[in-house]
Amino acid sequence: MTRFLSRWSARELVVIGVFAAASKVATLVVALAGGGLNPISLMGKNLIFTTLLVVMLCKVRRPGTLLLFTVINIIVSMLLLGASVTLLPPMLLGALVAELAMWPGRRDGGVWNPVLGAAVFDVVSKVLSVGVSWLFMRENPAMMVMVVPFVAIGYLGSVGGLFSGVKAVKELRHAGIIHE
Amino acid sequence: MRASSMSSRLVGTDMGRDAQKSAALDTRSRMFVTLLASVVTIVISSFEGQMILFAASLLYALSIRRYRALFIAYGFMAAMMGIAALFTFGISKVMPSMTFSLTSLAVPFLRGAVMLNVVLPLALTCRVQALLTALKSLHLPFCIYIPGAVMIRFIPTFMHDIRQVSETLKIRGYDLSFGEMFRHPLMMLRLLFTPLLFRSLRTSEELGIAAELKGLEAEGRFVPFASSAWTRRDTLLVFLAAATAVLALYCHFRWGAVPVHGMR
Amino acid sequence: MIRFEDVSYTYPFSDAPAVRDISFRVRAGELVLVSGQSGCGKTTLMRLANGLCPGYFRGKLKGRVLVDGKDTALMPLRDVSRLVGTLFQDPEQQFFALGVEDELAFVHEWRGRSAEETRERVRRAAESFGLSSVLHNSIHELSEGQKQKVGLASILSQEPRVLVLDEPTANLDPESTADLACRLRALKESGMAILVVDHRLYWLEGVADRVIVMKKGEICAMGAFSLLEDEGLRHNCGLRDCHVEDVRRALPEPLPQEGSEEGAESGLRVEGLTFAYKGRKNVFEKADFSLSPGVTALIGDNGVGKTTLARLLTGLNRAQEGRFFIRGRQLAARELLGRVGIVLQNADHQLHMKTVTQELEVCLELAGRLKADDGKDDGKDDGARDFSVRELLELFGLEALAGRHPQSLSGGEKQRLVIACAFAKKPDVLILDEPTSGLDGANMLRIARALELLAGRGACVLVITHDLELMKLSCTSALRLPVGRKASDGREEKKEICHE
Repeated sequence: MTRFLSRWSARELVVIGVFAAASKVATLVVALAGGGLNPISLMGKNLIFTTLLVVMLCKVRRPGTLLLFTVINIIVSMLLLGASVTLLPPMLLGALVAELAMWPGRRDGGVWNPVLGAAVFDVVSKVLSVGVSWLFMRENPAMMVMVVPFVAIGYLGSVGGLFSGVKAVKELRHAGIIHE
Repeated sequence: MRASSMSSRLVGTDMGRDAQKSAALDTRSRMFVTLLASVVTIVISSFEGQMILFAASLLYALSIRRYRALFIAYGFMAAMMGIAALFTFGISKVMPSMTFSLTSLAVPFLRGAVMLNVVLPLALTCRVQALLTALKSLHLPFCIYIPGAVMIRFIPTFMHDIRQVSETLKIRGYDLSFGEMFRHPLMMLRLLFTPLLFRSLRTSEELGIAAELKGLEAEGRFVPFASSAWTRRDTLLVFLAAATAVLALYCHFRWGAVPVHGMR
Repeated sequence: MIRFEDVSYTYPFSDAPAVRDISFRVRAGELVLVSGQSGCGKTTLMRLANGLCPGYFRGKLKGRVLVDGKDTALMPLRDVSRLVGTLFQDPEQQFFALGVEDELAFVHEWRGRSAEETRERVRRAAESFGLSSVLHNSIHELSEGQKQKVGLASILSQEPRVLVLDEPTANLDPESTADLACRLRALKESGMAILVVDHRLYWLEGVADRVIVMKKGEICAMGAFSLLEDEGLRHNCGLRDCHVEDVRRALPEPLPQEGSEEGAESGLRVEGLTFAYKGRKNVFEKADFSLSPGVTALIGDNGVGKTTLARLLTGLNRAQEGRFFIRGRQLAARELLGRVGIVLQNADHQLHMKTVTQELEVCLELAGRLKADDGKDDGKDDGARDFSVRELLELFGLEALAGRHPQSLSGGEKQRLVIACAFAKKPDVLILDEPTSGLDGANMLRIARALELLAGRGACVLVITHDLELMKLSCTSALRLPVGRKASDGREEKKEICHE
């Protein structure tokens, strides 16, 4: 554990922190601008989040990056924005499963391993968050019918984010900001 | 919470010193209350147990004296609950097996209210400026503290950046109306967020260099020069929270098995 | 203290070396100024001195860079950073904390110093830089000069032996620049070795012991400050002037508009402008002023409302009262955006497309749409046709960069591109916020000429700038804030520069 914690360089940690801030601000702005239940803004914020996630995973290729990103996001969101602590387990588990999925391809330099990681993270965390919603609403399962479509719409945005993430990485390579 | 008050908190020009002073309670004790409440409220499915949690958490929320923010948050939650109730009513008409009763909605709604009551004091008393001190008091390892500090540092900067980007688009002649965003959402997202993406990468490069030049390293020993202190009030809060949880669990197990107004 | 021995360095992903055969030294108690055209290798030189090359950027290094007798290539970067303190052009980008006190304490906390020692160091640093009154402020509340003081105080509290400064005056007003010169002189006298990389030269006259002029990665001239007197050298290497006159007091007020009838006026006229931010006192109260076509400097102390005025004139902020006339026609606030262009400071926020050409094409297209919406021409011909993409590329020296991604350009190139984008709109009034900060002499001249060209086509160009050279080169009048203040009342007077 100590080895895991101490092998990060300051520059990698800075990238994770900056992207955590960017994703938080971007998703918050979209949500505030469009309203929480607006399907377009729901898709938009998921799209931006996943795009930034793919770019960050391309920039910092160390195993554990997604897990760390998730932990930071949860702590700061909880303290600052009052994000529900119940989102913590789905996101953490999602990050853990995504890390496992990325492990075999950890030495690949391309964009596909980060895309895989982001895709697994999105699927697992969304499915688990539906599970948490069920725990909250188990006395009245009919309410789940309201939750599931919103999660599904959000997930469509995440899928779009995978494509826009690949596009963004290509553009960043064209701009010479990310190298293979 | 209103968007304007949210963004003014995040932009961080208000230093949060006063908020920190008035908060009086340590962030760790508030985090403990939030964590405990979230676990207990999920476990308890009886109306009585939830009511105890709700009453105690409401008193806790009122103790921060941010009545206006609390009122707005409750208004928003009520609207959400109203929509949920309508949905459930609609479903009961389509699927008669799922019967509709307002009483069956009470426990899920109370859960939501409990979470709101415990999360708001944490969020409203912890301003972005004071967050670094809060983070220090958690004694986190280097690899969590540094990105956390960087995230806190750049939230206000990026809020400002997005505002500037949207102004730049207006200056260029782009139509940023809601209708246009609805018609061309992808183009709007690109226009608004591409500069943010590039800015993030540039910022992380520059700050990464600054980190190296400041000699930051994982093996370094961190000694905070100032951190929030744990006081008797924090111990009391933790004790009261634990006592409430025990009482709510007792009520749940004592009466929870017996359906009350058709609920379990 | 710093010694370069036949140094050549090549970045990763690059075939050509960024600097070649560099040899020089900076002794303890010396200040050496490095200058040259953008892309000449000065930043790489700075990165070699503080160990970032190759410590951070990797790449290939030939020769040796010695700091305090130790080879930086053989030392971990954290050890080099204890010897060499580095201050960048935008100190805010170096800050890890949101509060001044937290920022000053940050490094000491991570170096494991006791809480008492950290507090003492923070107190001393704040006192010596006059930051005690803002110690509990957010960094966002500070002026550029104060931010730089925080950056410098943080570095000096670590007691380095060498100080490296990268374009330290790019965002500073002349008073803060003079203050920095005084401080560097004192540090030099205390025995510190100082390396300054900057386009602005005049402020180090009498402070710099030597000047190094670079061109295409090599040292093309080295000697005393008087070396810069050579106009041929300055022209050849794209340098700025080494003596700069402060023209702020000498510039005349803009001439009042002669006629008030539509058609008789050619510039901008504002009547009864009143504006206050919510809950604060008035920034403008029944202010009247007018601008004729030409380049006008907008002058005033920090916080007096220069940026606010720019935003009001563009319609980004709405005035509580006031009437705006352009070419004699009264315009509503929402109509202003179609007629007035503004170039904000941060170029990164203003670039959205995938190539330089696309960026300009989109701007021209949007400008055409704006004109059609607003009926800008009003049936009149203003005598000047629209710019084309090719003309704009040529005017701003961007032809070779036409296919590049805008975000891959250097700071100076981006700056030129966003000004070109503003020209695409062919505005009646163009406002520019610090258009030449961080530009070398050749590019500053290019911007000055472009502004004159636009003014020659009948536009009012309003420049918010601390750049005395730009003011001298292109401004023909000055609008002083608060409106109505005359140059002769002496409040614009420059502080005494300690070495003069």
